[in-house]
Amino acid sequence: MKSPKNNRSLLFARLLSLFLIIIAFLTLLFFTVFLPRTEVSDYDELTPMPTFSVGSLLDGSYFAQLGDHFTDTVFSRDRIKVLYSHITDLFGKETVTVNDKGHTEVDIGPGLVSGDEDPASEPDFGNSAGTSGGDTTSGTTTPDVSTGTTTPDTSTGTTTPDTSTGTSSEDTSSSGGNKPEIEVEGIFILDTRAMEIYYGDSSLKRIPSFAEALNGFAASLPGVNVYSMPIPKACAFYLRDASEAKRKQEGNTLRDLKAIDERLSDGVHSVNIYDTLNAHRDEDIYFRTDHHWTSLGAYYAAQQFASDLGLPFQDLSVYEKEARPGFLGTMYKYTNMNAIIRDNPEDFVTYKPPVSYTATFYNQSFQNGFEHDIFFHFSDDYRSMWYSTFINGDAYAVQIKSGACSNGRKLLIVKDSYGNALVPFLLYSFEEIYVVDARVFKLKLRDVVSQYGVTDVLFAESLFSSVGADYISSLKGICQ
Amino acid sequence: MNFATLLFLFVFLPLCVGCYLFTEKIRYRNAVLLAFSMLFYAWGKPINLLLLLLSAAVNFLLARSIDANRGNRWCKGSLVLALVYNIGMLAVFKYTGFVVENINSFFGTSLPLVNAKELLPLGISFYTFQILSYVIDVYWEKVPVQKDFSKLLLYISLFPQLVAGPIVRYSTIADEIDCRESKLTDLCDGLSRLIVGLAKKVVLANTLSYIAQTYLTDTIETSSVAATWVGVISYSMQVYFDFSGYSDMAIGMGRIFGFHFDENFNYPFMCRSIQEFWQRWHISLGSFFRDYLLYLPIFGKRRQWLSLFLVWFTTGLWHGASWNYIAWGLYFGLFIFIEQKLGKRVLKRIPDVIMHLYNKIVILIGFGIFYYEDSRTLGSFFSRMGTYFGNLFGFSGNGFYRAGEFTSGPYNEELLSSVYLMKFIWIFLLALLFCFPVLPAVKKWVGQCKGSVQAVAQVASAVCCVGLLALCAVMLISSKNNPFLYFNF
Repeated sequence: MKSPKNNRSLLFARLLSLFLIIIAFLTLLFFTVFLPRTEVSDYDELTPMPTFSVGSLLDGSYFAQLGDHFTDTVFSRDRIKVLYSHITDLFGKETVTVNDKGHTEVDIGPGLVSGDEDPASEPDFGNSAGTSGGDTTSGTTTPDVSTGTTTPDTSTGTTTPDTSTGTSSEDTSSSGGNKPEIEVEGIFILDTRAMEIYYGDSSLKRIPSFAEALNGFAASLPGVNVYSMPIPKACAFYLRDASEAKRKQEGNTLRDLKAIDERLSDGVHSVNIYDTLNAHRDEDIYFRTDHHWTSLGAYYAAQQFASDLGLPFQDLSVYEKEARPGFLGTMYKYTNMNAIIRDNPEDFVTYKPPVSYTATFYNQSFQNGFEHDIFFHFSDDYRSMWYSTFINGDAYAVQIKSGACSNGRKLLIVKDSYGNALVPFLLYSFEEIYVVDARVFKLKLRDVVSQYGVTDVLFAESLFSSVGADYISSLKGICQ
Repeated sequence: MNFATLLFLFVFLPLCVGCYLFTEKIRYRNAVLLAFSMLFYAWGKPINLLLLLLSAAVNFLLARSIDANRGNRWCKGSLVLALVYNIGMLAVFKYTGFVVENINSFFGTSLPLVNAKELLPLGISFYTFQILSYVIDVYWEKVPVQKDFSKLLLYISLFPQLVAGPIVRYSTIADEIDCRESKLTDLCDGLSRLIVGLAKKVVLANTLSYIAQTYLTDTIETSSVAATWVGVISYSMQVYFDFSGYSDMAIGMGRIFGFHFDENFNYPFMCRSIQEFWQRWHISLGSFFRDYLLYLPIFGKRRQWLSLFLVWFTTGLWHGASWNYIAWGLYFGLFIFIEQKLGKRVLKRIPDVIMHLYNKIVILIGFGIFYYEDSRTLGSFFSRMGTYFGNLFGFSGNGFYRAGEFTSGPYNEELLSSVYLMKFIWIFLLALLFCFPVLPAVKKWVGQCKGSVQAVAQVASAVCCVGLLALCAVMLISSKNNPFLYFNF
């Protein structure tokens, strides 16, 4: 028989237990209901708040979406997902093999790069722009990646290791599958660098349309210089030399650049930056943890552009370099918070031109402008959005009046998010720069050209976008 | 609404418990539970609520009619009407698509297909069986007729057991509908049970589903014998932790509200025979068929074996309108038939090791049959089974083991990474461990200790529960992989 003392201690223990559990429920209730909801979860797809209708109520979709929205927009969801990533690491043993060169072998799933190109499943990072603030270049894409089977290569350190050696690429592959065009099919991980696979437009279904849009635009604006600068992806430069993957990625890139080049009319000047970038592939011209190029890559491209045009251009040493450590870009998300990427963040480097300028940010109809620096600050909470440091991503149409140039040349940049990083380097070359994102801009380019007296138009977008159906469709719309 | 969602756990449930405890009188508490149960059910598809209400109303009236007409033919007539109505509703909503599809397949007709998942009201199998048990028990005078419609509706729609069981008999909670209280012990044990059930579902079952899908679906063309067995072991454990997790949650929530539901699972993998397995697995379903179908003299007393196979045919069919479920039911029926033919004496004489080996193999193979739920026509069923059994026994030419099969795997779209056994090996082993009565053993040991140890153990278990709750919340927020197996039921 239990003594009264024992009964009392058991009663106390029960009360304490109940108290603990109730506190846990209330804490989680407070956390999920009362804390501010996540509005933009970086590059995740969030379920929006459902729109009420009798039909959606009756078929259950309203409540279903409400539940998803509630879960998706919980406070600090990104951090929780990072925590989840750490937790799932404990669920088992990730398999890693180290090859004879000391590089991490990555299991990336079935399917092969070679022979696996499916034009119907073209990756298209750049065709999903959002309409609100932030860099939404790829904000609504959900790339398929398969990189969860690796562990960090600890030899690389945690700050911007030089991973650009052409001799250490990983020959891996991703599954093919018939995905909607806006999705990305797979990702390479090489040491601490993640790169999307570039499939391209092998059947030449879309490149002619892209060229047609630019040709038509140039033809409609005699006297205006039109340039095309498709920007290759990182996988064209950073894969292991002599590997099949490198051969394919390089081949796909060069094939499409050439195909675009061949189809552009005399009215459109091609700015082929492949060789320029390739010459600097030992440098960090693309991020390791993000799908964009770096400021440095954009600098070399801008240099070539200015050189082609015979315009003034300043050396990189003139710029104020700022390095912000701890950048984990979009590829971290796309690799499902892969441990390699997680443990090897990089520096986010910006080069600020030491010149005066006035930048006005407008909505997509060039209305309601406000002035702001061309560099925006994104807090550590929005680490994966740091690329939006450049002109705040794709949210605004921008007008920049340079104080460093008075040659009367006015440049309109029609771009996806890749074009953003070019802007700071062209302030010495053009008196005025206008920047619009082809995917979200609402006016006709011709009207912008005539309204602001634009002398030069540069189409600068990632090669994914150049051959992406949605981007081309948007481009056609504004080029009419 | 699904228990394993943030909205349910941290909005619906706290609100419901808060309102419930705020009220004191039993009729207000019943009103609170009824209102929340209606909301709970309407959340999935509000229109299905009408069907639930209709079923409750029809059966309420028929049960009253049975009670009022005792001794005359209307009594039996009302029972027959209730049976026809309930089984008819189940047949129409659950099996129409299946029947049409098979008619088209057999006779080459092109009758319009029905989207079964669209048509199937959530939980119809559970609440229909509950209603049936009530009406039959009233007819058999095992329980008094309920004269208050709202109380009968509360019994039928009580949200803890509405969509995923257990199948609660009216007799189990008839008294508690009128008189119950939530004691400190009930609240404490109920909340702990709820969290343990949630963890079984979210941490174990959801994670095991990745391994099962990998070896039973994604790599089915190349899976070796070893990989296929790993797949069926994972899937068996997934189903167990999913079903028993939901039952734990239901029982736990019932305790919070002062109801005491019967246990639905009792460590089924500890069984020594297939018969014993079914005494430990989904106990409320097994006992329903035993009490309401097995001993009915449908085929006459001399043909009891036909009754047995009818029970197992029906058990299979109850789980879903698909040939694999029917085969699964009959498969178990066959082994139970064999065991009954051999007799208890013979079975007792067989060494334990042999018996355990035998029944585990039978059970695991059975869950493989259960897995392929897309076998809606006989053709697709045989095709699936051919591949499955080929892999399982090495007829498919994939070998006994393929190097790297457990250390690398196919890409999983949901997880966005490769999936293979080693990736989740600790969860796999933990699940294996918890298939055995580890927790009851610990509880038993603690129960023999002195009071202070018990008190410490009590608090420690609460701390563990808090940790598990937080872990489940993180997993629910971060992962979309949260299969709900009860859509078929």
